[in-house]
Amino acid sequence: MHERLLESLLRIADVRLVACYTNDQFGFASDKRLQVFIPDLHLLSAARRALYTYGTNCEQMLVDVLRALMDLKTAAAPDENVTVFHIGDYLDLWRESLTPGGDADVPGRIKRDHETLAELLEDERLNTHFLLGNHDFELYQLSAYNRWERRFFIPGSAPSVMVLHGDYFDWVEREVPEDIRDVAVYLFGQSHEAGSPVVGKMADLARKYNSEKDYSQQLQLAKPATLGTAQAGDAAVPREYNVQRVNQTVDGGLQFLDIACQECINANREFGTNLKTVIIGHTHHARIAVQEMPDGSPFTLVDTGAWIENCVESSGGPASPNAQITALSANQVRIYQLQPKN
Amino acid sequence: MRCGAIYAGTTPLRPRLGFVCVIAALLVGLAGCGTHQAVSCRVIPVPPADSRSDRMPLPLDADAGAKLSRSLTYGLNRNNEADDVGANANAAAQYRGLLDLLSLPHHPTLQDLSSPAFQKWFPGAVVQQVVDARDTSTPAQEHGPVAANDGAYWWIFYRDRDQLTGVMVTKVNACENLTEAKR
Repeated sequence: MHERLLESLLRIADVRLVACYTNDQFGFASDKRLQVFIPDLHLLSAARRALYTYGTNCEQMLVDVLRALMDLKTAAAPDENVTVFHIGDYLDLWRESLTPGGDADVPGRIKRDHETLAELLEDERLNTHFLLGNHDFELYQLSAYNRWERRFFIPGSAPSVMVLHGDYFDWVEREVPEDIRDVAVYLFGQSHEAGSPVVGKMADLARKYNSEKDYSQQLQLAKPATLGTAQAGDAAVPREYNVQRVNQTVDGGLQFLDIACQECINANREFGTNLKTVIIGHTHHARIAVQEMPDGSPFTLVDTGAWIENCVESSGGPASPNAQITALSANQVRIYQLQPKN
Repeated sequence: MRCGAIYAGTTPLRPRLGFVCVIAALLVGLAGCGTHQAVSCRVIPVPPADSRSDRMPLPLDADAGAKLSRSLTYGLNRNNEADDVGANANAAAQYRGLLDLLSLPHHPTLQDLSSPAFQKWFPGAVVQQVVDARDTSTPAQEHGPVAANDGAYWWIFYRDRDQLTGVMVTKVNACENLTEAKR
């Protein structure tokens, strides 16, 4: 199904392959199952967007991508499946309102200015699985977003991959480990669902993190994220391309790799899990990074990038608006960078 | 052609934000806002089907227990289940003790919910008011369902006077009392 997705994307946009990695331990051996990850969007109302020098990129192209995903999903054979995730920070409540959790109309106010996009992304036929990010965590207690989560384990029947927004790793860097241990247990411990105090702590951490940052000129990136040299989308896809490793990486290419790997090692030891892959957003830097676990097997961090802020290839050239899509099938993960056709 | 142009200019947002923040702080101060208090629910609504398990008869048999375990694995969301997207991959182990208490040979009663065995799972007060808009009529108080919270989900217990006759697990985040720090 990788090829069918790629064909759809090539009809919509100029596509470049940012990175790919093949690993039998992803747990998605079948080529009849496709997992697609849409990264941070940070949508604002038109009125608030006018106050910033940056905003969500290429909205019409994203609408076209969502329509293509809908077609792919609805046309799937009975033994095929297309699963779509949104990785969090879909709506930027934090930048939209000074009281993001105090007004239930804030998300509606944003979506009214992105009607087509929102209707497609939230369409029942697409069945998007939504994560809460640090910019839209306040949706947690609004009834319309009741089914959203902070992390997923896939496949649910035998988890090998964890999907979460990624802001947790920022907290790990900034906070005293003991203070966030229960958050780690919730996020990584398969045997633990969040109790209200833990969720409250996560809400506090998200607000603290946001309040310590100046979003007036940027969200995550002071300069365009370096992607490495991308490959033309219609070229043959190798087993591995542009994977970040300790001995060969771009600027920022290994961010959170150590932390994510260690958290999985700790969880596997404590809860008997077998997590070896973590998929995140949050950093707005699309990449695949790999390092060795204690047993010699590879740990993979997949960063799905964003549809906001910018990226640049390490080979040079002008910066481009971030517009990445990540796909996982047949034990291969691919990240594509899209640009509107000339 | 590129869209979403790369902006090189700047907008004096920070001074504007600073002014707005001062006003906002004054308003918040006037409102007497301190610790954030989430809504404390005295009435639990039954949520839509994508946030609840099926209603199972009590006491649970093996099949009903397995169905509840599966539902908990997928976060009570049938859409998650359809796509094999897990929310709590070890629900069977996590909830085994509680499901055992609700299974044969036990015949749980309303009073049992206040017992130490159940209070370990449901440490808070039992909510006496549950509204299920699917009902064709409002149940009498002696037969009305009650709800108890395990820290993540609301377990709705259907009853015939003191005898618990059914259970349905629901996710109602709006009725969680988040313990948050002062803003």
